[in-house]
Parts: sequence; C-alpha cells; structure tokens
Amino acid sequence: MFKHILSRVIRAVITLVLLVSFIFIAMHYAPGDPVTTMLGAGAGPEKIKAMKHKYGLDKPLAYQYVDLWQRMIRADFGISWKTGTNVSQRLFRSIKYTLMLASTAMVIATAIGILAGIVSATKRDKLFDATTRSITLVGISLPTFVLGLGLMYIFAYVVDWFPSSGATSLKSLVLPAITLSLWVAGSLTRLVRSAMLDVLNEDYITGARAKGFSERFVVYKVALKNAGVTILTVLGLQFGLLLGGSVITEVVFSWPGLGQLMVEGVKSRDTPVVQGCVLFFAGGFIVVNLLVDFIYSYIDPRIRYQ
Amino acid sequence: MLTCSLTLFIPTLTLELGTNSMFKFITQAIKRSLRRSKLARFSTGYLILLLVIIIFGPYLAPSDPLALDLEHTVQPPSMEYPFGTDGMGRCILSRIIYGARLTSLAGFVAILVGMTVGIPLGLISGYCRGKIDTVIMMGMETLMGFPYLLLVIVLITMLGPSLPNAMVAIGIWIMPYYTRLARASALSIKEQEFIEAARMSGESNFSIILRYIFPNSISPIIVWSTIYYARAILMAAGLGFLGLGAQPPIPEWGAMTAIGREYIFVAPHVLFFPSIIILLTALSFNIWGDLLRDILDPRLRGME
Repeated sequence: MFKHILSRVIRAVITLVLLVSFIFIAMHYAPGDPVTTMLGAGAGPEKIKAMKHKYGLDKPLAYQYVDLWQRMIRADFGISWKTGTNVSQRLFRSIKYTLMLASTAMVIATAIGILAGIVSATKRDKLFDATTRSITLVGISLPTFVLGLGLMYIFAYVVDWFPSSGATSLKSLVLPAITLSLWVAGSLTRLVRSAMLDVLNEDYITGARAKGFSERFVVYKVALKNAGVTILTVLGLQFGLLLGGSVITEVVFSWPGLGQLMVEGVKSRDTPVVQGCVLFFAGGFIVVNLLVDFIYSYIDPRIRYQ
Repeated sequence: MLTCSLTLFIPTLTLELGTNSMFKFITQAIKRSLRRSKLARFSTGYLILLLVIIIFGPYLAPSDPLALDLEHTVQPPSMEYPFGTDGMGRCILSRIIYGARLTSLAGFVAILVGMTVGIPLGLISGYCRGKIDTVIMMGMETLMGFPYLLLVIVLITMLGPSLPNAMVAIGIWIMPYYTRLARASALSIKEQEFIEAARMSGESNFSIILRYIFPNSISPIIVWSTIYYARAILMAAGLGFLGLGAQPPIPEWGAMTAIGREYIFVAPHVLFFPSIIILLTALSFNIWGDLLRDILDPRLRGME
C-alpha cells in the first residue's frame, strides 16, 4: 500500500518537473524576443538591456532554470512584465475565484453525470436512455462559449434572474457554474454509461442475478462497485477538461479567475503571468489525479496488494 | 478504454481482411446506419452542404465578407443581408460562408501537423521499443499531461496569437494522440510473419517501417482523423473566441462569436448565426464519430 502510494507520488513529481521544464523551454525559445516585442520597435539597445537585466533575462539559461525552481519553491512567480506588479499576489487573488467556480461545477457535473449515466445504462435503449444520449450528444458538441452565451442571453436578458458578468454576489456564480458543469456533465454521462454497460455484461452480474438478488442490489452494490475504479479515473481526467473549460467560461462571464488572467497574459505576452497560471492549472490537475489514485487504491484491494 | 480497444482492433482487422475488404466492411456498415438512423442522415446532409459551401464559397456569398457598410450597422436579417449585419455593417452570411473555408483549413492544417510529426514518432517508438520508446512516450505523456486547452495556450504564448500559429499549436496538441495510435498499430503489426520475412531478406529497419508498417497502420489513422478533425475545429473556434486565434476582421466563426458577445443584448442575431453554425458542425462531426466508433468497436458490436 505504502509502496504503491510512494510510486504514484514519485510519478506525479516527475510529471510536474517535466511540465515545468517544458514550459520553461517553450517560453525561452519563443521566436522573436519578448522584451523587444513588448518595448516596441523604437526602443534602443540600452533600454532593452536594462529591461533584460531587471527580469534576469541576461543570465545564462541554466542559471535562470535553477532560479525558477528556487523561486517556485518559495511560491514566488516573479514580476509581471506588463504591469510590474507581483505575479504571486495576483495569482492568489484569482485562484479563489477559479477554485470556487471549478469545485461548484465539478460537484454539479459529478452528480448529474453519475446519476444519468447509471440510469441510462440500466435502461439501455429505453426512452430515458435515448433522450439522455441525444441530450449529451448536443452537450458535448456545444462549445463552452456558445453554451455560456446562450444561457447568458436567456437568464440575464430574456428573464432577468442572474447578473450577466462579474463576481459581485453568490448569484453571479450561478450561470458560470451551470455552463461549466453542463459541458462536463455531457461527456461524463457518456463515459459513466459505457463503464456501467461494460460491467453489466460481465458474468458475475449474471451470476448475482441468478442468485436471486434484487435488480437494485445488483446495479447499485455489485455493478457500481466494480465500475467505480473506471468512473473515478474518468472523473480525474474530466477535471482536466473542466479546468480548460473554466478558462473559456471565465472569459465569457468576465469571472475574475485564473483563466481570465491567463488569457490577458497571453494577449500581452506577459510570460511570468502565463507561466504562473499554467503551473497552477497543471499542478491542480496532477494533484487531483494523484488523489484519485489514492482513493482507488483504498476502494479496490486488488490495486492495494499488487 | 474505448480508444485502446479500437486502436488495437483496426490493425488486426486490417491484417485479417486486407485494407480493401476493411474499407468495404466499413462502407457497408455506414450504409446500414444511414438507412436506420435519422441523425446519421441529418449529419451527412449537413456535412455535404458544408462541403459545397467550402468549395463554392466565393460564388455563393452575397457580398464581400470584409466590406464595411457603416450606414447599415447591426441590421436584423433582411433581403439584402439574409443573416443581418454586424457592428461594422459587414454581411454575416458572407462572413459565415468565407469562415467555413478558414475553419476547415484550420482543422486540416492542424491534423496535418499532428500527423507528420506524430505518426513517424509513433511508428519508430512501437517498432524499435527500448530506450527510444521510453523517451518518446515520456515526452508525449508530458504533452498529454496538460489539462485541456492549456498546452495550446502555452504554445500560443510562445508563437503569438494569430490563426496560422493557432493551427500549428492545435497540431502539436493533437500530435501525441497520433503517436499513440501509430505506436499501437506498429506494436501489433511488427509481430506478423511478413515483417520477419522482410527482416530476413535483409531490409533495413527504416525500409521496413516505411514499406510495411506504415501502409498497414493507415486505416485506424484515417478513422480517428475524423474525430480529431472535429476536435481541432472546435479548438480553433474556442481560440478565436478567446482572441488567441484568428484576429478580428478575419471572418473565422469563433472570432465572430467574440464580436457577437458585445452585441448580445442589443442585437442577438450577430451572436446567434455563428454560434448555431459552430454547434451544427460539431454536432454532425460527433454523430459521425459515434457512428464510426459503434461500427469499429468490437465490444459494442457484439452486444447488439
């Protein structure tokens, strides 16, 4: 058990190191000097040199790489190239909002996805299943921004129930959270459905039915437990989808989270800001999948004793 | 899981039946689904219409997609402008028609980038195994370790926001999926006897990969490309909306919805038409993707 957890932690750390290195390399080998782009063509070499010195860009690459890690351990993401403000402060201010949005959406999406997926699988090819399948098909085809703007038009304009943008009250969380969760719930329902169908075809389900267990027991105790590992894995992976979707949702509803900060950072080519945001997102994704790993080594003894 | 069984299934099927009968098998199954399912007919019809629009776009468009008509800004649909005009008085219908070309081109280029880099890497990885395999797959897993959209954003930051750069970035995002696909095919094909025969007759590894492994791994790649194509198009639209892909006057569908967002409460038609087109396109591709998957996944087929 301990060995299993340790190997998972080590793998997560390796992934994180590779990710950070990849981002570092990507940012440094970008075509076109970012400092020159930012200062404009008119800037003299003196000014460019001073700017590079200010952000430590004139140091050797290896030094910069080590420096990046040292700063990251202290949760220091440097100074914004655009505004000169402390990036870490802005990140921590924004992450609150993203966490609020992402966790609400994940809870709603999980509830809808698992329930609809199970019912759809047990009532295969009946009316409920057919309806769910059509709805989820539309759901996964709807880009987040189209869905979000559609909801915004209906619920913030036609019937004026919720504010269309900003994060002033709890009411403004409703539309972004629904947008994000519906988008993820669509694919989640499909995946849970197919995981359940896989299990329901197994011999031990026929066995359980033959023993005379009630259908409810067979579905919710036997089948669900066996589909649990797959469903959990899927949940972990869907979280990545949700993080990406939250970037678009935040822009649609002007929600002041990490996603919006990042998009603005990309537009103004503000590397430290983008770097910080991407690391937060990717780190969150890795941590959640690590947790998923822990949980299923807890629920599935086969994994624990390997 | 589905992906895994499918990638392993098609190469074996190809080996058993040969590429020609494999395509015959797929076309027959598609014909059957078209007869049975209304949704499949709808999506096929829509995709054909889209193809016509892409080919004959400039002849169909009522006006110039970039021409400003400042006397008729944000007009609702009328005879002159069937889908109305946007904030600069540009004809929305014409912009959507031209946008179809851009969007399909974006998807196509992205897929091509992904293929040209991803497939050789995957074939080498699966054929050679060992250290090369470990290194290539570790690199690919790092790329896949990014949450959805984030890798593309990192690449756009590196390259700068524009439509061509977005195409390249989306291509790199899709690349690892091609690598995985090609690797799985190579793994199963290299165990076949004809590969052994080729090796014994003294062919180099390079020529074995090029002449035997690659041609036999093409069919799963073609099938999966329809699904990746849809994903690439949606991603391009999403980037356009965020302002990280096509830049404003360019009539790309995602960028058009971004313009529409500004007029959402004043003139919803500016937003409505590009949105509905994106939705219909993605829906049609997904219906087709589902169809192909149902045909090709042996486990789902067995259950019918």
